[in-house]
Amino acid sequence: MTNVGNLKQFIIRRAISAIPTVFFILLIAFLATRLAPGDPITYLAGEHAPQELIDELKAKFGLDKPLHVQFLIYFANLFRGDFGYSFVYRQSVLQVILERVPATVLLVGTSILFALIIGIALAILSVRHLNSFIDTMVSSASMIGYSLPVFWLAQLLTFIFAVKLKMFPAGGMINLRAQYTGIYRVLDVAYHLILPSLNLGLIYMGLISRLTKAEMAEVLTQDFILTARSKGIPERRVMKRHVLRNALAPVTTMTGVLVGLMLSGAIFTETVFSWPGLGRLLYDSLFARDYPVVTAIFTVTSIVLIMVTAITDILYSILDPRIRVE
Amino acid sequence: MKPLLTVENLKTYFETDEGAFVRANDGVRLSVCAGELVAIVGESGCGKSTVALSILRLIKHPGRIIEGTVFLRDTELLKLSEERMRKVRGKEVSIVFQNPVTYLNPVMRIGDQIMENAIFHLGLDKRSAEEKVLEILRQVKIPSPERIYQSYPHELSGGMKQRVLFAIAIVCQPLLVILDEPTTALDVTIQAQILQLIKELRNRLRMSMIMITHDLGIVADIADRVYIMYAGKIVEYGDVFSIFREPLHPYSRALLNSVLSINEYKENLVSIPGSVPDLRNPPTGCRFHPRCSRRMDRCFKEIPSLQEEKDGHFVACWGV
Amino acid sequence: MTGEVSQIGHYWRLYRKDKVAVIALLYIILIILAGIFAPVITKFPPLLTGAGPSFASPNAQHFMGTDDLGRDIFSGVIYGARVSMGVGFAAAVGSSLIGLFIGTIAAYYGRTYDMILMRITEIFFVIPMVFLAILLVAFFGSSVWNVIFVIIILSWPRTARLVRGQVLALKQRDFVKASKALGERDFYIMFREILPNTLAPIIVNGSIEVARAIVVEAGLSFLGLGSTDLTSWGIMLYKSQRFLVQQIWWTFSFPGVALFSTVLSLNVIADTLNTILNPRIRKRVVRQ
Repeated sequence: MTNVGNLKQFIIRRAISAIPTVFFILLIAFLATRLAPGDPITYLAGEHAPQELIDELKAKFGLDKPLHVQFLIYFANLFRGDFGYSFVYRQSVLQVILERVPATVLLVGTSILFALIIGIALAILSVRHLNSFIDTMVSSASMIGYSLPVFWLAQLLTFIFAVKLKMFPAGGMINLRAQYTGIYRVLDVAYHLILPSLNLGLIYMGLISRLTKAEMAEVLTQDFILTARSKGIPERRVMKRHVLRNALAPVTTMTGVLVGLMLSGAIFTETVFSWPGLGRLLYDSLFARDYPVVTAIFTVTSIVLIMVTAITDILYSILDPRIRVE
Repeated sequence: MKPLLTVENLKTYFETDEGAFVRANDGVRLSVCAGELVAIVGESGCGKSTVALSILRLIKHPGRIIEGTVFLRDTELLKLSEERMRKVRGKEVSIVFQNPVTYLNPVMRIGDQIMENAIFHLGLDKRSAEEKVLEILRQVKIPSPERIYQSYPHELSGGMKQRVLFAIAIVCQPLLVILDEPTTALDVTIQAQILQLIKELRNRLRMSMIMITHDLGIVADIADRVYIMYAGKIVEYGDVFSIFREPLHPYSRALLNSVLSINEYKENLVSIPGSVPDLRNPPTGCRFHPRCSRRMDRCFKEIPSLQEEKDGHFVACWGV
Repeated sequence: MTGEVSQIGHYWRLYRKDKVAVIALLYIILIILAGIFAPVITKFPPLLTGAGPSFASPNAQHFMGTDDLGRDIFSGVIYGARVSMGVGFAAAVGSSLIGLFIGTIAAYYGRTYDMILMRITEIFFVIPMVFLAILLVAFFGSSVWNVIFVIIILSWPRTARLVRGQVLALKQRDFVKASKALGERDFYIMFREILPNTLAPIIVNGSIEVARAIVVEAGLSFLGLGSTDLTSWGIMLYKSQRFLVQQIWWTFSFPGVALFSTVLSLNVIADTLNTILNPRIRKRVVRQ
């Protein structure tokens, strides 16, 4: 199969092209550690470090050595999973981060699912009733959705549903007093998850709905839709197999961008809802001047996003066979 | 013999942004008998494609079929519900479009695009449908059908893509196939191959066809009867020999005159003076009168209707 | 010149047909005017503590109530418009100009310049702006000018990419080849011939950039990274966070509505501009 062979080649090429970008990110992160206000030692060890620790760090990171050697050491450390040490949390940075990752993944994952499912459904609804009242309503709702500032919607949701109506908790991931276990814990987390994921989900649902609808409307003007209709197949199949299917590839790229947007939105959401994820960690660390953590979050997030972009590109080529041949 | 398809007084208008109406089809008459190949000839923009889309009821906003009747055997197509019309499309009447590049779904395999049709209309299961598709691919003379079945449109050449469009149209063995400028977008060499294919399909499968074209050479080659269209109306129609030997309408005359044959030598290329009328505001009376060298008073005021001048040869002109 | 003027008139007539878009435009103008004439509109300086009693709910003296230190919310909103609109437009103009310049040069000279540009913009596209903005502002300080500067640095790649696409397409057109054949200088071709033809999407993009810049500034302020000697909607929201649970609604709703409605209006304007300037989309939209 020629097209499967092309696909494999494309995947390899795309994976390889991501490497320079990753390298560049690491370089920036490294420079950030050297350029942070104060000298690198204070950055690594905090403000009040004992002299022995300073000497130890100097030796470990080779701070007396030339810059490019430092970079290599930094790089080697990263490979071993050594992102440094956080003096605020008294743990290795890697540990601090790993503890927070699941919460963010849960939040962003749920929000993306919500945004995608509802967003695409609304787009399909819109396209089926193009230029009708329903279409206008959906378009308006979408525009309102993505114009809302994340942090303000967070406040609004908190105020209305948590403070006034007392339907949902105002923050946190679990009920600290009750300390549920097992299935109750799962339900407890889910209960706490509702407002934060609505926060992100509603806004980005607007974006997805708008962009998907635009793509689908564009596809509808194409000639092959006429061919499809001339076959006499049901309109639902035309929509699914021909219109949506062709709009899907750009939507996939969109989703990749969406992950990045949601991660930055999560910073606000987690802060307002006290959700114990990476976003909250970034905020706290910034004010605690825990720069190793900050840099590490930056590095990890960037690399994840680069991988996400590469994956969406590959998905795109699966969905649109024309791209595989370049 | 009763015709397979009868179109009478078909009016399809398109509404513009400013609220005017483009009268793409303004009272079109057409009929096709079983086994016939009928050609519709005319300049670009005269409404030929609109006739095809109207028959299949594929006219969408801002276009609308205002009036008329379309009878396929005993069924009035314009009065069918959309659901029943869908059973007609692709099964009883199908269409082959003109530009193979843009009329195929780029992300769907060729086999699936042809099979879609068969599965829905013929109720076949996947296996039998697959076999049917391969058989059809052979019928339209596509080499290595198994490989093409799995391929995507962008991997095929123009001529092959056009054959695929044919395959899609004939897989359910329709009564009538409409060909909308089947050779216009192709190279001359491929044109010849497609023409050959059309002839074969006609002879072997005994399908009735409507061919829309502006190429009179092709018409002379394979059509049984010809309809000449101008500015949204049929101005002349009849047996192809009769029309070509003695065109009665001034427009038909001019059309046939403007075509050079390889044997002829002409001093001047004859073109028809003036330009195609604006279909939002067509001329009063006979639509051709502004460009007609033989116009009379009557032509300004009254629209001529189609009258039989010779056996089966109809023309709409006051000057005959 | 007359050709261009009548074109603008034509577009304005099209724009006028969409009533919502006109309202949005008027609203933005209103906000800008409110910011400019702030001292006339409200007599309380926004940061004056004790202008009124603490936590007064909206009343005749203080239309939007007061915050925990007795500062007038209405004044905050009006003066905040200055910061938000100022930052928004300054950043948008700055990043658009830079993006325009770099994008045109990279696309026109092609090859290596283009490749470098694409690589750089790729990085900026992958990492979301807010993220980097937080880091940069945290490192470099949070004065207003820093914020504007940071937003410009993070936004120009988007415009540059857009311009690059446009210029690449136009480069192949005949009128450019003709100019080259006539021996016109590169800069002349780039900026007097190609550029005017790329203006439409850039204007649409500019409108979106303003909205984006406003949101980023508000976001940074919300996290406490804004400058404290100024008042902006984001800062007001930041201050209001603590009092949410006390059911004090006026400290967060008024600045929030101001922010939201401004961003929404800008997005509506951008959307309408896109519809009228982009002929393909225009065909699909049925005018009621």
